[in-house]
Formats: sequence, structure tokens, C-alpha cells
Amino acid sequence: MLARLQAWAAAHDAALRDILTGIMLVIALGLLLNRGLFGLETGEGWTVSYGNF
Amino acid sequence: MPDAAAPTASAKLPLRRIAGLLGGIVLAVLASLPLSRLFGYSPAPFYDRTLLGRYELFSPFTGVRHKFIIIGSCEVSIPVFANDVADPHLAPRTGADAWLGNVANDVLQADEKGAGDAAFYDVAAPNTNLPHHIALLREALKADHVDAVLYVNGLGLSHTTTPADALETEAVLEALAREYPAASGAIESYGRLFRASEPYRQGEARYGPDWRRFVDPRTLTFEAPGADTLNATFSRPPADGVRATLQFYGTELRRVLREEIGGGAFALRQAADALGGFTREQRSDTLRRDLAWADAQVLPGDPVVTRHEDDVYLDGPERDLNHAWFLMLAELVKARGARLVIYAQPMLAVPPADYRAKFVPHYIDRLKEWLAPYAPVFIDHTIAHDLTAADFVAECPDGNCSHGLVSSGYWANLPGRVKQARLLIRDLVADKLIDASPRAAAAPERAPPRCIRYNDDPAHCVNWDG
Repeated sequence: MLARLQAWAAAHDAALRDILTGIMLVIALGLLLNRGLFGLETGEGWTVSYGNF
Repeated sequence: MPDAAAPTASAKLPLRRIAGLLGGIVLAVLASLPLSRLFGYSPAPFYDRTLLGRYELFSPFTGVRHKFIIIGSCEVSIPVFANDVADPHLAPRTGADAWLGNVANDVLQADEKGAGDAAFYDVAAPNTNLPHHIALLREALKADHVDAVLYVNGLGLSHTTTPADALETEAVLEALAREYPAASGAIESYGRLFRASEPYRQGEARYGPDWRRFVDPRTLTFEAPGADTLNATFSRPPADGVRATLQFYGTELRRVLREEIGGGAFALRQAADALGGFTREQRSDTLRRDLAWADAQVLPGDPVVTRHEDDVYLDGPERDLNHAWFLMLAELVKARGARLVIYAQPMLAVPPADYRAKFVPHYIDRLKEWLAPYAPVFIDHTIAHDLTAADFVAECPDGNCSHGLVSSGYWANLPGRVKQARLLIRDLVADKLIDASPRAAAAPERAPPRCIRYNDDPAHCVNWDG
């Protein structure tokens, strides 16, 4: 079973790499956009427009 | 022949690779979605009720067993660090860690022992009054482990809304009556008076007797085209220019992307929290850094405080509506099995003489009379506090800071919120709502000598400590 899986993976190596790249891209973007969750945000606040209140 | 076939194969290759890449992206997004739903709660609340369900108050993984929910208007819902003295307009800088609940959580852990499973949450929005607060309360009461509702008001005692808002309020009241049958009598008593109000009648006339078709069944927001509800001002782009509209949609796009593809990040954070309070530590560090920044923002001169003018508070023309509303509040909180705390926050806007002559008889004492059967906890720090003019956000009149500074006297900044939170927690512990004990003996209260200048007589100051 494992040998068949390895053979299949070897045969589709390029495609698997592309899929993995796509997955990694999304994970990286998810981490980047949520870097504030991990204390990596620069601490910039945003200014209040009094017109909104 | 081989020469002719080669370009076809190489042309196919990028297409196959792009398809593979896209397949990976789709797979990752699909895997992220359930993780986002499960763990992707926002550490800060939203003004927009349609998003409020993503606030971490509603996360099943907080480990918090005693939740204290703060409901109020702009005095608690604008999270300001301080005025930025490097900005020519001294614009206030804001951030999620300046919400009162967040500050109170840090103070609670720093000052008290044994309060590890208690936390504060903010369910509040600016420009709201009593009808809006009942919609916020309905959302807040959906949370589990609600120990107490801290209701903050005194300055926004009005039932006046837009016609569309009046219909939205009626939809919320109808839902509450179904969801809390034990409180339905009190809800109906308020509803009867509210439906007789001018905004409601205008709303029915404008949108017709079948206006309920415009109510979103999930969020209960009134979604008729162009309806001017308060929630729409939080959930729709502003009407003041292309740049603001683009900025709005840019922020929205970023938020949606962050939430939808951040499943992995949220799961990672959850794992770090399970291992050792990662988020709590991180927020504490952020708060300390922002507090240091706020402390360094020394304003050029003392602001003049805007005196809050109200002679009657709850005893004005809407007295019956006020009475019915607070009874409804008490019934709903009781039906949910929580304690009601009437919290009058520290202010400078109400000077001591006005406080004694007007605020106490027409707000505090009136509520004590109306709510006596429910025995709510009263925490009144209106003038019993150690905040100074520097602890509130200042504004430059007409945008020109050389004309002097004006303070609302009720929007506390971050240092002000720390003082406010200390006083609040001290009383909640003393009233046994929070089961904890102080880490150190309380220092004797030594408020700095305060002489506050008011806008109606800026040449003289009112001695607050005399």
C-alpha cells in the first residue's frame, strides 16, 4: 500500500508540489493577515474621525 | 513531428501548473473555513451587530466561567489610547486594547488573586441610546456563563430614534418576548409605550404594515433600501466621498480575507493558548506598551471640560418610557440568571454640585426606587474617582488646537481607563461579584488636587476635592 502510494506520489511529483505551493501560499497569507494574533503587529493604532460619532 | 509537438507540451505545462496551484489554494481555503468558524473569534468587539457574533465573548474556548458584560454608549465604546501630540490636530489614537473590558481584564489579573476564570467583555457602540442598548443586550445575553451585565448610562437617556431604527427596535422586542417568556410582560409594557412614539408611527407609515419583510431574520437588522438605522452607519460605506468608500471596502476585504483564510493561524493561536495563556500575555504586553505611549502624550495645556447639561435625567418627558425600559432590562437580566449592575462611570462632565443636586436624585435614586425589587448592584463612581482632565480625550475646537482644548469629561483615555478599571474591580470584588482577593493591600486613595475648568466659565475652576 505504502509502496503504491510512493509510486503514485513520484509519478505526480510536479503536480503535488504545485498543490502544496498553493496551500502554503494561503497559509502564509493567513498568517500574514493575522500577524496581530502573534504579537507581530507594529502597534499602530488608527485615528478616530469625530465625524463618525 | 517531434519538433511540432514540443511547443504544445510546453504550452500545456504552465496551465497544468496553474491548475495545480489553484487546486492547492482551493483546498487550503476549504480546510481553513471550518477552523475559522471554530477558532476565529475577534479579540475586539464590533459596533456592527451583524458581526458581533465573531467577538470572542461568544467563543466556546475562552475558558472563562464568569463573564461580565459592559453595555453602554460612546463613553465606553471608543477605545482611545490618548491624543497624539505629534499630530497637528492632536488626533486621538485608538486600538483594540483600549476597550474598557480589555483594560479591566489586565487590571483584574494584575491586582487580584483567584480571578483567572473571570473576564470583562464590551458590547457597546457610540451614538446609541436606550432602544439600541436593548438590541445590544439581546446579542450579549446569547453568550454562555454570563455572571453580570454592567449597564453604563446617565448621558444617553433617550428613546428617540430614526423611523427605521424604531421598527428595528420593535423587531428586537418581539424576538425578546419569544426568547424570554418570563420577561414578556415587562417587554410588552415597554413595547406598548414605544409603539406610541412618533418615530415608530413614522416608520410604520413609511414602510407599511408589512415592514417586517425588511427585517433580517438572523440579525434582526432593518434592511430596507436606504433605511437610516444606526447599525447601517456601522455596516455600510460612509457617504462622504470615493476615498472613504474605497477605504471602507478595503478594510472589509481585509477583514473577510483575514477571517476566512486565517483558520490555520487561529488554530495555532488556540493551541498556544491551551499550552499557556499566550493571548492573555500578549495583550498585557501590548497594553503596557500603549500605556507607556499614552503617558508620553502630554497635552499642551489643560483642557476645558464640557459641562453636561441635564436637569431631570430620568424624570423628563420620557419618564414612563424610562421606567418601563429599566424594568425590562432588569427582567431580561433576571430571566437570563445574571446579576444587573448599574454602573455610573467616572466623569468630569458632571461637576460635584450638579451631581448632588441633579444626577443623584434624578438618576441614581430614581433607579434605586424603580429597581428595588430586583436588588441590582449600584456602583457609582460619577464623582468618586481619581481621574483628572488629562485622563479624558481632548478635542481642538473647530479643528484648531491653538484655540485651547476641550474635553468631553466622559471619554476616558487609556490611563483614565486603567484608573476606572481599578475602581470598578475593587467594588465588584467588595460586592462579591468577583470571587478574588487583592494581591496587595490597597494603597490609600490620594487623588491629585483637582481644580477643573468648565466651558461655561473657563476663567475659574471648580475644586473637586474640597
